[in-house]
Amino acid sequence: MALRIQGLTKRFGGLTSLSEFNLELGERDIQGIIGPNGAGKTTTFNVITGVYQPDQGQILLEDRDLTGLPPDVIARAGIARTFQNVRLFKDMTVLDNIAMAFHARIGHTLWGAIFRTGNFKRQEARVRAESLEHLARFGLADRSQEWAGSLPYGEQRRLEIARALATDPRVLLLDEPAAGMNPSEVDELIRLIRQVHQDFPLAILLIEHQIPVVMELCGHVQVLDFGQTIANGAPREVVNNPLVIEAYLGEEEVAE
Amino acid sequence: MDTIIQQLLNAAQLGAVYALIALGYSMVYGIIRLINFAHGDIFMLGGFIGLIIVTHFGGLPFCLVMILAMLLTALVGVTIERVAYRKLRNAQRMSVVITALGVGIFLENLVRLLIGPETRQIPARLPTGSVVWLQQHLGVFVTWDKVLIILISLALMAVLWIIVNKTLVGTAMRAVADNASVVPLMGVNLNLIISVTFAIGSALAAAGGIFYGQAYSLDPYMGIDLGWKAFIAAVIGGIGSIEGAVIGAFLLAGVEVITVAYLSSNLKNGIAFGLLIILLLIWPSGIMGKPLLKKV
Repeated sequence: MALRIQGLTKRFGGLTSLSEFNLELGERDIQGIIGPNGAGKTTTFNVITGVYQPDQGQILLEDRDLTGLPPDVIARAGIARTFQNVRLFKDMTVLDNIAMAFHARIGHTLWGAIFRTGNFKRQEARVRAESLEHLARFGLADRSQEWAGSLPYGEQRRLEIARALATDPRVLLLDEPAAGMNPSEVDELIRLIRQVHQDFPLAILLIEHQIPVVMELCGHVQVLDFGQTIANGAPREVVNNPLVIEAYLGEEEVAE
Repeated sequence: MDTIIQQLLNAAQLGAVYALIALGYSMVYGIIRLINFAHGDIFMLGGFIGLIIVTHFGGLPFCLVMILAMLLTALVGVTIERVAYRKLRNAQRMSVVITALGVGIFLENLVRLLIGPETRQIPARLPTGSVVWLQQHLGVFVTWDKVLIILISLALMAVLWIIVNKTLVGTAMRAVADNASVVPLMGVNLNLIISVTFAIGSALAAAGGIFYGQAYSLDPYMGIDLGWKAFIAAVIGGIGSIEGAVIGAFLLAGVEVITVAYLSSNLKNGIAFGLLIILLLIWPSGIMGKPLLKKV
């Protein structure tokens, strides 16, 4: 089991954003979390990655208990994520964005950095070479010296996924990867996620609003509404579940 | 001609000290958006730590005195961040600014209490003889210590530039400045990078303090005036920018030295601060600064 979550609960004041959330993500699974706005999907990711401390529950990555650990430790343990609104280091080069992610693998020493030891220089050269290689896998090698913020939107998404993968994760969390994409970009994204799943030894958990993406990719879907899991199962069953339809129709009324 | 060269070297020496302080303001602001108003006092403390080392370990070579003072001051800077600022990182901006001012006053009075309010000078440890080559070829009388202070300062700035732009730690520092929320997800301990930044900024300020204490003098309140000047230099250059801090520092020192030499020393501050106002009207974000609003 790549990721096992039991009874995860997060409260903000009187509001329970996430209640008794459970998840069993197998080594090579692709699973989805769907639900209307404010259902607690992104909160789930924030608790898993250590941005928020859970009030109850347990998070196990390959049987290692990560509950309550700081975000950088969780990242090094093997959980990577992307954001709904792409969060790159916009004023840094594409290459430096990837190089940052290599921190998760190598861990550096302060002395090495300040005194430029030979070992340290070799390590830095290796990071550059591997970063370039990594970019090439995502068709971004020729962009390596451009500012990340200057890339077109689709490539920014791709870079963010590439950066997450450069941390060498066991579990990849994708927060609405198709947000703001047109249908042809969505098709390309689906191909990319499939490719990633094939090429890297990891499990994927994704939050998505676009139901077709979930139908295409996920073997299992969990539906959240007001922090509660209201449905759980194969995508085709879940989208026909009356509770789910009601939750989404409820959202329609308040949509702009 | 010879006086102009002499004045330029005076400006370069003062500018080097301003730059060594301004870099700390700019780096700390760059990564955590904090104007560390205690930084001028860290500069003062660095000078006094240098003085104490020179007084008690007279036999140490100058470079060891500097390294030791820089390390100790770095430790003080890291401790201040750990004790006084870290808990307030997500608090209201005003709280931490007030804390920084308080830390500054604390340091001033601590040094006054421990060492006394008198003006001191660090005994000359750099060679003070004339640079013969300059005297023979340009007819300018310049002492070696001035040249060395400028050169060592520039070397320190070069080392800083390499750390920030060419190393992984530097990449992490730039990443914190760019988007701190994502940095921990790269497996990087955010607090460690912030500590490194305070350490480097404080060490550079200590170097500035030692140079200043040798070229001019030390007193417990020197950090107020010089700290403000260096802060202004950082703002003129574009706070958050390393290159900007250096440019702003030399520009400000140049204006000050020229004003004193050709107009009046009474006008020094008036003209320096006037320059600040004019430059900021032209470049509200400083010479190398990024506009706050890229798009509306």
